[in-house]
Amino acid sequence: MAKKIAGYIKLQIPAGQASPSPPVGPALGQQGVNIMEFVKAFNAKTADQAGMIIPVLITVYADRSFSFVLKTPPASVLLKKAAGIEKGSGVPNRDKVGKVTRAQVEEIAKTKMPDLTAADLNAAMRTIEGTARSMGIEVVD
Amino acid sequence: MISKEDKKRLWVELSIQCSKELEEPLCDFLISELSRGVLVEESPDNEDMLLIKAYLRREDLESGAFQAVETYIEELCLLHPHATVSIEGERIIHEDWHDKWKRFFKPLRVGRRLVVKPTWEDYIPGPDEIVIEMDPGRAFGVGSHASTRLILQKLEKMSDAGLIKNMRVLDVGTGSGILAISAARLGAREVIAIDIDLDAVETARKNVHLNNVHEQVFVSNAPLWEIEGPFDLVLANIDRDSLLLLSKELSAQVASNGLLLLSGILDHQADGIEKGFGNQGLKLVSVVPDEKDSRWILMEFQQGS
Repeated sequence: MAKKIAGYIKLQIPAGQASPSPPVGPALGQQGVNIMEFVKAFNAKTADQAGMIIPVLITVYADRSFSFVLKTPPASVLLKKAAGIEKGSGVPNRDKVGKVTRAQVEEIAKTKMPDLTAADLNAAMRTIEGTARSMGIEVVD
Repeated sequence: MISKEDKKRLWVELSIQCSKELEEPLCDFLISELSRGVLVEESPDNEDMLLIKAYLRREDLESGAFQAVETYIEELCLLHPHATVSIEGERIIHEDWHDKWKRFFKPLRVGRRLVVKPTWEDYIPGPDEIVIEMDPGRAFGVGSHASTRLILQKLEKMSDAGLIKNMRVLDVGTGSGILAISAARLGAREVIAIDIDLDAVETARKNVHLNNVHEQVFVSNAPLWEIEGPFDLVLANIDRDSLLLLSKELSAQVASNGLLLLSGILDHQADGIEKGFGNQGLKLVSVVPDEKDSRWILMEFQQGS
């Protein structure tokens, strides 16, 4: 029998670095999920991806047990990799901190298509380009 | 009045409303800037919007992180005039979430005889049952997680076969103390329980007293290599990386013919663990998957004679 779902929690956490402090603690404690059990499970599963940001969707059941799925890395992480930078710009309108080619954007858009709500590849590419702009990464031909 | 200690435990929760298309760059910025994760919620009043919650400590406020967030949001507005992004509110939260899940923690039968019971719940044990009292505090281990359950069930089976009686046991990364206390209740002569986390040591000590096993169980935060071995049985429920890091010291604590039980391991990590501990001269005796969540496994090693 399927278990009754009490709610969902979506977090983005650096791989292998979940801890009982925020955002994990308050979000899970509120829903009655045993915080340390999630921390242990998340860190075990993401131990091999150090340095990555991992979006995670936690399903909380009525009996307060939980399950979770890890999503593909955010486009922002893929863009930083492609541009060879560690961090996006804090003032992206003023300071550009890196460049990616349109071909790289297309590749990222293809990787992310399953998670994006975009209608087609062109729309997906526009979303990725928007993300690049928001990080101070220029898109060049 | 707020004490100094309390002040340390205050956080500022920043709620930022944004259009869905800005989720990734905004989260990326917040995570890099604050070095911790964020919570992403659907906005309650607009289905096209998200509410991103970021958490700041007092140190972050003093280091200018808040200004950096404000500046970044202003820049996003300039870059995306058609999108929306704004700070919706700030809220001070107290670090009380550790206690919130407790209301859902009920007595739990783990093996055939072992029952883990939160201190604040009533439970009338059956004639054969062993009840372990637990107030987990902030430490890991109330018996509901597969990695804890695997060791508890193994201990129970060993006890049924008369194997634990008079054993000297070491529990590494004891957390709430649940494994150490159970080993003592199942007949171990002496149990040394250690943890590097001082919160855990304090919690484990409290639980040891709650269960009246303070004459058999000794809790400390001494490092593993300072503990005087060897032990007939060594328990470690941590995680793959920590286990491998400690493989030499853990193995050195196991007496000849003694057993080492490792947990906190996922099935695909078994090979690495087998190799790591094999290199220390230990022999893999069994691999047991959890009955409810078979991704988690227990690995049992034996020291040569």
